Amino acid sequence: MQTKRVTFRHVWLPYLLCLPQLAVTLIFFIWPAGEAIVESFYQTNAFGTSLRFVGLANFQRLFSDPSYYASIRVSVIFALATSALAMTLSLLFAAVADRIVRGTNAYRTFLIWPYAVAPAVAGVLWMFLFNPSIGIAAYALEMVGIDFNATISPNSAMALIIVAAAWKQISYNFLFFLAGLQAIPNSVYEAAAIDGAGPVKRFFTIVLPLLSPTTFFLLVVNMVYAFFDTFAVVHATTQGGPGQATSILVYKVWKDGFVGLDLGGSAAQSVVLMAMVAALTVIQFRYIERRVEY
Amino acid sequence: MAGITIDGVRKVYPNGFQAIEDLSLNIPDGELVVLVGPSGCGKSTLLRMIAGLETISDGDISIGGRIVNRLEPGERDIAMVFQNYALYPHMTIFDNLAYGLRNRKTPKAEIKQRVEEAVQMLGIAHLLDRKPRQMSGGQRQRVAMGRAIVREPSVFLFDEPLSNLDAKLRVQMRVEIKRLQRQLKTTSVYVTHDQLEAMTLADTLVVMNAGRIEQAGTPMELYSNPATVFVATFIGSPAMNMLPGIVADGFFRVEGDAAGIQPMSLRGVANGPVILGVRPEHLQVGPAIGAGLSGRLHVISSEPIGAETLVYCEGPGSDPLILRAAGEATHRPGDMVDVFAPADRLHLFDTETGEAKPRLTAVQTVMATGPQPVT
Repeated sequence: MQTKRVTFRHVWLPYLLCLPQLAVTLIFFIWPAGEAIVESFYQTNAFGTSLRFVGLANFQRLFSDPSYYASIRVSVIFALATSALAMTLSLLFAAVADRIVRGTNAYRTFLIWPYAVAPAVAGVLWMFLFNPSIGIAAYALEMVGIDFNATISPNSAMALIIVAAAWKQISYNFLFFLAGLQAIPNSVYEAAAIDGAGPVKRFFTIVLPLLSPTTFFLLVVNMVYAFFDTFAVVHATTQGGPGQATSILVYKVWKDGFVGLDLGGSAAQSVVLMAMVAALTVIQFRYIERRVEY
Repeated sequence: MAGITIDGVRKVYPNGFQAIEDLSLNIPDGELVVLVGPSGCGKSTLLRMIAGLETISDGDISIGGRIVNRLEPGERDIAMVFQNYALYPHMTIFDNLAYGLRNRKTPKAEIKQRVEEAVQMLGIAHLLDRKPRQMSGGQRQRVAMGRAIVREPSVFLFDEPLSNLDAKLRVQMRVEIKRLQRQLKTTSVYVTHDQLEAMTLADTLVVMNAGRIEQAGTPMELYSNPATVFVATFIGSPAMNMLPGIVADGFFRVEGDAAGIQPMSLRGVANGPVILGVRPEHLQVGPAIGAGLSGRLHVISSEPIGAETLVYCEGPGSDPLILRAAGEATHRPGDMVDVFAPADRLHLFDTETGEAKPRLTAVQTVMATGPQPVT
C-alpha cells in the first residue's frame, strides 16, 4: 500500500514529535537497563552507603545458588503451561468464533475484553475466585472433591497463577488465530470437505498446518509474556509462595532486590533476563519475519 | 457413473434473497453440461448445491438416482475443481492428490497407482514433489484437475476453472478438459460466464438468468434458435443486433427514426410491437437477394480483426448496428453501405415477455425494396 509522504516545513518538527516516545523509552527502559548492567558488577553495603566493584562475583554467586535454578524451573513450567493453556483455549475460541454467523462482533468483542484488564487486577480477580473461604471456583472444586488452597499448596498456587496469566493472554492469541483462520481461503475447506474429510480431520490436516506460522509467532510471544510480563499477576496473588513455589524469575528479581536488598544480585538477575529477552527477540525476527513456509 | 436430476430446486438465503427459483434440470449420464450466465444468475449457487456446499431450500437433487439433499459433500461421490484451484498449500502435489483417497482409506499401493495414472494423463508427473506455490497457474490447474480425477467420482463439478489463466492457456486447458471428459465419460457440470468457453465445451448448454433457466439445449440449438432475447444477446459475440419495431398492416417498421432500414413485408404475425433480432454475421454488405431485411446504413467505425472486420453502423436506437464483414473490407466512417439479412436468419421476439416467436420463412416476407403489396 502506498502511504502518503508527509513533508515537514521545519527540520526540528519531526524530532519534536518523536521526542515524547523517545523520552519514555530512554527514561524508563534504556537508562534503567544501563543502570542494571552497571550495578550487576557492584555490591552495595547493608546501609546503601557504599558501592564496591566486584567484577563477575554477582553472577558467580547467582549461578551457584540452588534457589536460582529452582526459580528457573518454576519459570519454565509456568511459561510452558501458560502458553499451552492460553494458546489451546484461544485457538478453540477462534475456531468456534470463525464459524459463527450471527452476532459475530459481539462474541469477538467479549473475547477481546480481558486484554484490557490490568495484570494485577486479573490476578486479584482469580485470587478471589479461588480463595479457599470465599471463592466460588474454590467452592466448586471442593464440591467435586478437590481441595484448592493457593496459600498452602504449591500446586494450587502454580495452577492459580497459570490460569490468571493465561486468561489475560487468551484475547491476544484469539485475535491472531482468528485472523489466521480467516486468511485460509474458504475453498480450501470446501475442497477438503469434498475430499471426504470431516470437521475434525479438516482441523488437524488442513487448518492446523496452515496456521503454523501464526502458532509459532504466538508461541514466542506467549513465552516472552509468561517469562517477563507476569510480575503483577504473581505479586497480586501468591507473592511467590508458598515457599518459593511460584517465585518466577521476574518476581525473584524484584524480591531479592527490593525486599532482600541485594541490589547487585538482583541486577545480575536482570541482566540474565535481558539476555534471554534478546535471544527470544532474535528468534522471533529471524524465523518469523521469514514466515514459516509450507 | 451417474446422471444428475434436479427437481424443483429453490435456494432462498436467510435475508430473503431468492438465488434459485424452482429449477429443474436433467443431466444424463456421461454428459458435459455447461451452466452459463452473467454474474449473480445463480449458476455457481446451483453448482454448490449439487456439491453440497450450499443447503437446498426446497426440491430434490439426486445423483445416480440417490437423493443427496442431506448428504455431506464427502458422501456425494463428486469432485470439484475450484476457480482459485483450492490446492492444499502445505502439501506436495502427491499429497494433494492422495488426500481424498487417504480419507477414504484406499490402500497405499492403489493410491500410488491412481495418482501416477492421473499425473501421467495430465503431464505433471515430474512435479509430484513440488508444493503448489512452486508452480505456475496452468500447472496448478492441472493439479486441481488431477485431484478430481484420482478420486474417480461419479460427477465432476467445475466452478469457473479457467478464469484465472491467461488467454492462451485458457484455450489449451479448455481443449484438455474436453478431451479428458470424453476419455473418462464422467458426468460433468461446468460453470462459466465466458460464452465462448461454454459454446466449445458443452454437450448441453444451459443459459441461466436471475435464478432461472432461460434455455437449455445443444450450443448450436441455442445459437440458431434462442428462446428469449436474453439468450439471443448472451450467446454469440458480438451480440445479436436488436431492433425494436412495430408490425402493422403486414409490415415491420423499426421504431422511431429508421436510420435507413427499410420497412419489411411481414405476414402471419399479429399487429403490435415486436423486437427483430439479427446476428452481425447474418447481416451482409450488399444488395438485397431475395426476401429479408434490408437498408442503407451510415458507417460509424470499423474494427479490422484479421479474419473479419466488424463494421459499426448507425442504428435506429442508441446502439449501433454491428455487422461482420470480410477481413479485407475497407469501410470507412462516413461511408454508406447497403446491408441485407435473409428472412430465414431473422429472429422475432415478443416485446413484453422477450420470448421468441416462430422463425420466419421467406414466404412471409417479400423483397422489402420491391413494390409494396396492395392491400
